[in-house]
Amino acid sequence: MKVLGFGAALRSSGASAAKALRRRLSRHPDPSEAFGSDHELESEPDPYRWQSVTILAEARQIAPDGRLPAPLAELSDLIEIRLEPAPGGRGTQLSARTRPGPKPDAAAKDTTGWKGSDPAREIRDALQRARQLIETGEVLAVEPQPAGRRRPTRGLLVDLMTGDADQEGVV
Amino acid sequence: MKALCWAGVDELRIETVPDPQLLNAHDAIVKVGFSSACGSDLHVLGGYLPTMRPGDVLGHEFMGEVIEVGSAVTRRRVGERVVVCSFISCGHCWFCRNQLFSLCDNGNPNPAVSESLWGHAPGGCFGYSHALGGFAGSHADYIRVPYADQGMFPIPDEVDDLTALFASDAAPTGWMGAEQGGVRPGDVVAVWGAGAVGQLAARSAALLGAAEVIVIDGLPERLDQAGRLIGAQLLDYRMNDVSAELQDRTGGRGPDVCIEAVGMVAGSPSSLYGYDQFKQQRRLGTDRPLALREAIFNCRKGGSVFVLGVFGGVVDKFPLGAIMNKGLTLRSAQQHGHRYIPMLLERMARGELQTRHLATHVMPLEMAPQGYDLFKNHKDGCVRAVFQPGQ
Repeated sequence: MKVLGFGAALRSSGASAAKALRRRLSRHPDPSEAFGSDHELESEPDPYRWQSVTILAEARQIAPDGRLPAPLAELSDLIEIRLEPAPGGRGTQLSARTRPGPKPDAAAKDTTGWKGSDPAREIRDALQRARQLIETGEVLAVEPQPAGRRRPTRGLLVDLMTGDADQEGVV
Repeated sequence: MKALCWAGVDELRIETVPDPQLLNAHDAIVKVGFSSACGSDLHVLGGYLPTMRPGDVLGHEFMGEVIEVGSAVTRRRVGERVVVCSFISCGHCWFCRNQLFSLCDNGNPNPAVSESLWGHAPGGCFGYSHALGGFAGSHADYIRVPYADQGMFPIPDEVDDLTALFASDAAPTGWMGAEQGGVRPGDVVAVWGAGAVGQLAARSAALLGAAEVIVIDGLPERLDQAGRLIGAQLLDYRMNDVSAELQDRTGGRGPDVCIEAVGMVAGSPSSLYGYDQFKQQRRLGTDRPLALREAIFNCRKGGSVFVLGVFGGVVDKFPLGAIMNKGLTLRSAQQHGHRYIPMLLERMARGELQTRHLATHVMPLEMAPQGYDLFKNHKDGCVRAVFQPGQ
């Protein structure tokens, strides 16, 4: 248990550091210049922003009898879901967002019921896992896998990036 | 098991690492027979694609024997000799169904890293950094292959192991450049780079009917192979003005199709090389697009340029004006190998596509760090260093 607790603490501090890094980058003009972005980086994203994936399947396959795929079903009390046909035979656009609360922004800031402190990331992760489940029948795992000696101080930035990588963009 | 691990910029180590396991029902475990160094490894080795962690196992071009399959694997079986596509694709998403396999929506479990760099994530690739999934690579005794029915291809009896090895990456990459570059019978095709991918792009162009194929490089051993074994015309950039030669050899038109098979660490005697290298080394730029600039500049009006060489970030002094004003078509991709590998194996079996000569330096896995030194620094005429685990 101690080991798990330490791991969780590390993970938590890693996520915090990644967030801090993102906040710093979002205030700094260089990232947008380096990657050629024409638009301003937003400091505060819309907490009720819809996030979407397109799945090569019909809506009735994605939510048969209204039953959501497992990764989204776990969040069903916390999110709203939208299903729309994608154009040109591309399947179905599956979208989700935090369920708006009675007071503006109240629900988005309340993390009760969420696993972590960032509901938008959990939604993104759930959408991606739902797409994998429906299209391939499984969620692709990558760990544990063979690796040599890790040196945290030399791979810290990549650790921070990949720690959030199954969720959404990190810089 | 033993594996070649990335330990830091330009640091490689043979380490003892845990054996791979079946993690998903569609997985297989392959005992690696041969695994090749590839030019794109030099980008991660040198830190140009800065998403490696110390301890990551390198290698993405390989063949071997299936020793274990997951419960959902139906087409491949234990004991088969297979070549494995370097890119990991599910076979079910919209991109796979449209044969854009390296863009698979489900093959990359770390999409955010590459979304941040490129807007959207390509599929995954073995041993090629956390931007492409963070999967362990093939420079090891064993490797886990996700979506095994989709990514593993049985090798015909007529094809030997070393020949089949290059059906994993270099051959489908080269074929894709020629095919999607739009090579048609009678075309003149110029290929920048006489490494494995460049040679196989040149051979593919010839098989697609090109009247003339010109390969451009500055390494005599590679040019020699391209001339003797691929049948290409040669252009040594160290001794010739590339633009003037290409104009001369095409009646002033320029090549119909130009294939860039060099990538982000291109070299050249031109002053732009110093400029690009200065920027790259000081992290002011990420890539050196010298060969790409040349390809665009020299391509005929209305012609086609295909970028096969790997680029990771941003470039400058990019001749967009030439693309626009000459009406060029510019295309690129990581390789969609699943589309081509069965056909390429058949061509190998018929003797139409020779690749074995590319493996100039075959050695035990334990010598892989020395192999990369030979390969990276073009020592001893090295075209490809190939590692044989268990020897």
